[in-house]
Amino acid sequence: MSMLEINDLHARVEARPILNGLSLSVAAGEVHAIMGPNGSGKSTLAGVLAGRPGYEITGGQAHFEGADLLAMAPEERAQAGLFLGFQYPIEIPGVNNAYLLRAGLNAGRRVRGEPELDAADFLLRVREKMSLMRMDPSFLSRAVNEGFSGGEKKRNEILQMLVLEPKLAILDEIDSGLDIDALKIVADGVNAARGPDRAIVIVTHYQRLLNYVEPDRVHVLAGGRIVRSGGKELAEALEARGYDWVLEASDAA
Amino acid sequence: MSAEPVLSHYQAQYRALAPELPGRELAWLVSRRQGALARLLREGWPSNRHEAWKYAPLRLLTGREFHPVITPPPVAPQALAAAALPALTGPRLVFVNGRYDAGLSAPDAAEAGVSVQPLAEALAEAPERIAELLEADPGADAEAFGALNTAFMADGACIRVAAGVQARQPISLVFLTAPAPVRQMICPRVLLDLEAGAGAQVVVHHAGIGGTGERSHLVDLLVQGALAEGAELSLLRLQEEDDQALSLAQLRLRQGAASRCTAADYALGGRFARTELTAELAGVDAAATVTGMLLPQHRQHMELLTTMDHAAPATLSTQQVKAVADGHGRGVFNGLVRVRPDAQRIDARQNSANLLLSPSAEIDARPQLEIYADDVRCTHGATVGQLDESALFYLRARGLPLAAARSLLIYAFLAELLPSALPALGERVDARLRGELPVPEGLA
Repeated sequence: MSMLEINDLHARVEARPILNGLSLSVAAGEVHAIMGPNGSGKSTLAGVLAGRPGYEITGGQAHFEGADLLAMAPEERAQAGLFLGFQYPIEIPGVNNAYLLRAGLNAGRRVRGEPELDAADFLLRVREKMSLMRMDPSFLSRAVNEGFSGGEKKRNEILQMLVLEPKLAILDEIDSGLDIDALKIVADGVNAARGPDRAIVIVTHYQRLLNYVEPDRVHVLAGGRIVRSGGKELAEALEARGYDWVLEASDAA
Repeated sequence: MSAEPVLSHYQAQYRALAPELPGRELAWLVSRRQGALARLLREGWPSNRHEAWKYAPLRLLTGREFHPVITPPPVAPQALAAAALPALTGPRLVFVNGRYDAGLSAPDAAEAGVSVQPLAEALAEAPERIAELLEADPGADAEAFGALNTAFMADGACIRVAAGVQARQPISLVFLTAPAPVRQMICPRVLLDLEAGAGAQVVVHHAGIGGTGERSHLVDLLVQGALAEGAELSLLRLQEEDDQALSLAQLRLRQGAASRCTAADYALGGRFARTELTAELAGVDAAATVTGMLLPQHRQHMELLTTMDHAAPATLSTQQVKAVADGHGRGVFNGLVRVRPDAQRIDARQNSANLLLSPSAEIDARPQLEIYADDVRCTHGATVGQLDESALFYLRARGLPLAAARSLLIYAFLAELLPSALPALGERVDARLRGELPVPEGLA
């Protein structure tokens, strides 16, 4: 059974249909890349899966480990092991990073019946991941994303993923706005998260992150549907020939 | 019930009580009480036509008869321990239903040069100084509820700090209220007397301690602070009255040259709670910093009215007020900045930020400027918003349940107004916001 199974999903924002019969299957241990031009529905897909308010599901299903994902509250999805890496991480003045991370981590542990981590165990765990993300420990006591540069915000998203250890990570344009050094750090973080029990879905416009994180499957999203799927060579072909080539081919089909 | 029978009720109450009120042997005080009562009887109650009372549910105050308290119920030390803020180790006066409770108090913890006395004791010991303090601030009982306090003040505190003395320990005044068989009226009077260069921190804490009986009592507090040249006062008031109680407070500060006052008012309890805070910046270079927090929930109505009266040149006032209204709660902030003629080089800043959590809640935030000088820098801003939906989703996407995410964001919104030196206050605010859940420990 797939970890994530999406079937003929339709969704709209206000009256505008964005997803139009999207189907996708992602198994544990796999890294999938979902690519597509602007406006193809990539971020909507990520938002719908994580439970972001503002979307109306008009048809289809999404199951996460067999459970009806679309019936769950955002926090239930997170507690069950789904992680969304935000394209635009939110600044939350007054709430510090360490608190958010530990509260999120312990919310999941409570649901799984595991003991909560105390402050010392938590710090031990988070420090190691911070060094991987080349983040100074002082970030922990700063307010969530407040005053962070674009690159720091994206690294913070990956740090959260590494600490929360989700089963399924959906990374929405995690590579946008990064210089080459930050891109490599983010890629290192994603690669460190790869494992036989974890699935990762990378939503991106560009192929360049995929030079560092090799995907098992690549899908092209256009007009709210997946119009083509293939291996990593599909991403390379997109980089060389642009999206028009795939879109024309799918129109012809 | 029309207002007049209620007024004659107070006249009768005064006649009956006068022989028992403290200072009954002091002719000037008796005359002041009688004058205040006569003014109240003559001028009557304020009405909603008065700008300062525009939104207030006045019928709760003026349409009912309240009874001045003579004999409060005994309160066990455990009840005090449960209600009082921990970690306040300095001198403490405790009042039960407005009457001084010597058994629960610890006035002797005061340092040299610092005197902390119940009002009756101070009246007996230094009546001249008390007379001076009252005479110097005729505005205190010019209006109805100040007059009511003067007529019926039965207890309270007098805190004096000698010239140049810095009181290191905070001084706390704890007003506990327990329900009574009748609807009580509690009129504490607090006098703060800081001589030149003196410094003190004063914490005024009102707490309802539950029990059976009539819970809709009226607390009519009047605090008068005199800061001589270079004095520094930190005055913090936490109001956690019973949710049926009516809580009025006037905090009046007169500041001499180069004095500093930091006043903070936190309103959590009460059916109707209103604080009027006035700082008269009467000496050059005086500065007042005001913090206000109002958390009206359910059917609570809370008001904060401030007057920053810049009467001398080069004076500074800074105000930061936040209200969070939920349920059918209503919050009112009315901030007046007055700059008198010839009070040049003034800096007055006022900021009011507010959160509305429910469609039935309401917040009215109004800055008012009366400026009669020209070298003045005044800034003011007021915002009313809702919880940031994107921040709420972000927290939920990390696994925080909706209720926890909401209260975390509300707490974070308020956190900058909470003094780090008194973490217990943050705990009370948090408990109010989220009920039984524990305090978030990780605020930046």
